[in-house]
Amino acid sequence: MRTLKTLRLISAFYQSFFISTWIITGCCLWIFGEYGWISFSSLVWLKIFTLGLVFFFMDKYKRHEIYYYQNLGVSKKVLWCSTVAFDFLLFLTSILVTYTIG
Amino acid sequence: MRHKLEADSILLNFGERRILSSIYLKCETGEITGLLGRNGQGKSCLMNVVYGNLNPASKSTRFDNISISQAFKRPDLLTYLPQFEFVPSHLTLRRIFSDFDLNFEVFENTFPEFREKYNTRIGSLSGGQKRLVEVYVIIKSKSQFSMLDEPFSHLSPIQIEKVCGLLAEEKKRKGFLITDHLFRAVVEISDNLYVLSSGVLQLVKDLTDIERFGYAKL
Repeated sequence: MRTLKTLRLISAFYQSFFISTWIITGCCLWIFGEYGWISFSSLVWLKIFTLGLVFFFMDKYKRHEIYYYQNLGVSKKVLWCSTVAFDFLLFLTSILVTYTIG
Repeated sequence: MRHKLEADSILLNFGERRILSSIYLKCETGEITGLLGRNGQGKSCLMNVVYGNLNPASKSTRFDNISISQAFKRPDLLTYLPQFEFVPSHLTLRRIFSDFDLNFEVFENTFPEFREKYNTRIGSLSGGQKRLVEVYVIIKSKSQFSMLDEPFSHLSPIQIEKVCGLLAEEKKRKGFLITDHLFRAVVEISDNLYVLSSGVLQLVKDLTDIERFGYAKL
């Protein structure tokens, strides 16, 4: 029950910024579809860089919202580690799926 | 059983400027502890230090004599209402009340202006309504203690009266540390009062101390 609630809170936090990271993933997939594996390492670095930018802007403009999650027992570290890991895994999986079906 | 929150040995500097130096703060369940002080004296910093979000040069925060430096990891012990809006604007009232395990109907009965707002996003409410929801969920949260930083800001006099009623009711099961510039309301509901001045926390033994410590004229 507690785990389910934590997941729900992490998902609410992810909703605050997922559109920007999904757009970037979409652009990366398009580039990967065009240029193939030769572009892979550059795309990985692009993804890491843009995730860093998202973190910077969220920390600057939405840092007050962290108190909501802290009051419910989810720390800033847990929020960021889980959402960034999920977003990056989603990126890698999408690349793999694009390669498989392409 | 009465629970106890204590904070002391706090030393907080911002560069050369000393913000907090001589602090001993004690809150107990069943009591409301008021914290007064002029702007920039470090009231919010003190609350953030107790909550664990601000790391001073030294500090000791204890719950029932057990040292807990990152109280934000223990919402069963302490919740915190910061002075700014903190609830993500995309969440509905339904979602917020569900996250805090609270009954919306009880809230609606106390504040009828929220009828038919159950599925409304908090971001679309007025500033006063947003603040009221935030104050309510923290006061009603299932923690031993709650710290409230300027809970009365943006609220109308009738809402302030109702919030004071809620605090009086909830203090039967928990303890509150409250700071607000509506000091007469704070004085009225508090069982203990402190004034923070020049980094030093002074216990108010007599109401004339408020004037003596340079906070307000009575």
